Amino acid sequence: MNEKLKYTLTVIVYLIVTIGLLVGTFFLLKPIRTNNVSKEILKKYATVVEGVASVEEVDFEGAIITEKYKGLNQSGNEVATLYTATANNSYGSITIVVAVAPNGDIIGIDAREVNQTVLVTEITQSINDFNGDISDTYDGVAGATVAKGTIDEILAAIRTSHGDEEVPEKPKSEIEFVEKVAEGRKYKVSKEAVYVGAAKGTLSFNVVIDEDGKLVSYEEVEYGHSGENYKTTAIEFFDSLIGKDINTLTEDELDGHTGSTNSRTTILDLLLDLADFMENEPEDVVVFVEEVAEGKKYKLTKESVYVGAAKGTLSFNVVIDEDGKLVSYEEVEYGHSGESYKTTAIEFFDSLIGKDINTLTEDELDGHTGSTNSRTTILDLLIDLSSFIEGEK
Amino acid sequence: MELKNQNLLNVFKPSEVNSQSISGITLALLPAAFVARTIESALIFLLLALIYFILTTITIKGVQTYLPKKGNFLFATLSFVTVAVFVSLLSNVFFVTFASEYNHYVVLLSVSALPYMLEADNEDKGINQSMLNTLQSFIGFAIVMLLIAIFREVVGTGMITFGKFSDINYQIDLFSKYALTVFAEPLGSFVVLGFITALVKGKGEFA
Repeated sequence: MNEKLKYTLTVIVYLIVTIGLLVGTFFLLKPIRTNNVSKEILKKYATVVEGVASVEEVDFEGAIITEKYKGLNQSGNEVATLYTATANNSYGSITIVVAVAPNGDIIGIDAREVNQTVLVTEITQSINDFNGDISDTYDGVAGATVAKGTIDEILAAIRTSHGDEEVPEKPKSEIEFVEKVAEGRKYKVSKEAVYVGAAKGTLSFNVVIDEDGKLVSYEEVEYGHSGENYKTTAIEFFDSLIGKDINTLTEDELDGHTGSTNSRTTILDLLLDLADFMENEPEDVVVFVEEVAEGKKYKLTKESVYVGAAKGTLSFNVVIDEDGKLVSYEEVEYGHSGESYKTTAIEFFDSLIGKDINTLTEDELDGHTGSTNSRTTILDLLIDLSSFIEGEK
Repeated sequence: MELKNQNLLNVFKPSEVNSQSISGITLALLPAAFVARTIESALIFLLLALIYFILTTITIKGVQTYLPKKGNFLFATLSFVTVAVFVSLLSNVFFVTFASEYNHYVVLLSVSALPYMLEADNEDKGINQSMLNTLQSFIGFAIVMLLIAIFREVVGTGMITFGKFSDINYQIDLFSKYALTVFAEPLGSFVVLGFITALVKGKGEFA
């Protein structure tokens, strides 16, 4: 064995032994380190919050926040979110440790490091005195404008991070009622959503829901997500929902399907949002009922205040002739005050018979007294009907 | 740069003051001076440095004894780095907060001039003499580090504080309102190091 080979082998053995020793030491000491790290974290935050028995790491973003933990008590309930944040300026750096309650109240705050070349004591004191709500305005110290900017930066980062904990509300679908059809009611539902990476596109469909809340059919209005196979997969999913009650749909509907997850989720969201929309949808003010000998019959319905804050529904079937004149009406529901109040309102309605509903204005109310809310509702119903008939043309 | 007999930190047997030895002391203290921001951080760093110097002396004696002289420099450098990483692991385990702030300076001990000066000086000495030289140099290193730390903490913060890195909780406010905070900044370590270099040079010229 020549000298060069011997030397090379010695170097290799030396490296293997030393690296092995270091790796062995690392794993040998790891449990002790884990234990000591937990103790240090609790010790560090003991200055800002009491009663924290353990901490849970929480994900956070940004360069300013360096640590974020959920502080839990003995029972495992959250006491506060614990932050350490550092920001630099031309005078050095500032590190703040703060405990923020779930409602945003600052439980404790500590200016851990104020490495500034001026007004260190004053800045430290002002930070320690900032103990209201995390969204309050930090006043700062006169003569330490740069430090104020840095502290504002830290507080803004904490505010944003604290807000991040709330689950952001999903954007709702845009929904509009299109028309009544033989099978039920047709709605246009649209939603813009991510379909791949950060790319967003709109899905828009006309869907028909029957009176039991079941999806009868749909037709595509716009398909802005990936096409071809991806679209086929999404459409197959949509097809599988036909005949189902949209009020009973859940995220479980996505199970058993693969591919085009974003598009399928968007379609499901459209139907879930539609179910919500229909649940809260007010009964139509105007609904066409049938053609009769004198003209067309419409059902008019409206809920409105009749006294104080009390609300009630007025509903009538009215017949309008081909010239737009009110021919007759019949009461379907009268949910406002009865007796003489009702008599006054009905007298007002009677006075409108024979009039062209297209020419009705607020002036019709003049010359009548009493039951103002009920009379106004009746007039509004007829004016709405006029608009509806205009729309039909 | 010649490193043999240039060690001014051995307070019991300091070398001659010249441009080489002044450069040596500056380079020996340069990474460490940053850690000497407070007395507490300096004491923890000194404990780790003591372990480092003892282990490197033993390792280097082993290298010098059992390995061919031709490749000693490579093995010495590898040993300095390995021992520095080992000490940084200890620091990570037993001084968690200190390590999060200063552990890179512990690793940087491997490129400080002091271990290389000790290696050169200990080359022709036995293990006992080598260890003695190392401990004597460590005492000089510790004195300078503590002087830097006391100056930076007292003048730079106007306070003496313990409790950030250890379980000893102690704080005394001397004149925090009038602190020259620049000395507590990293820049302060350069300034203090400059004072020390000037003092050593001045002492050499007047001797």
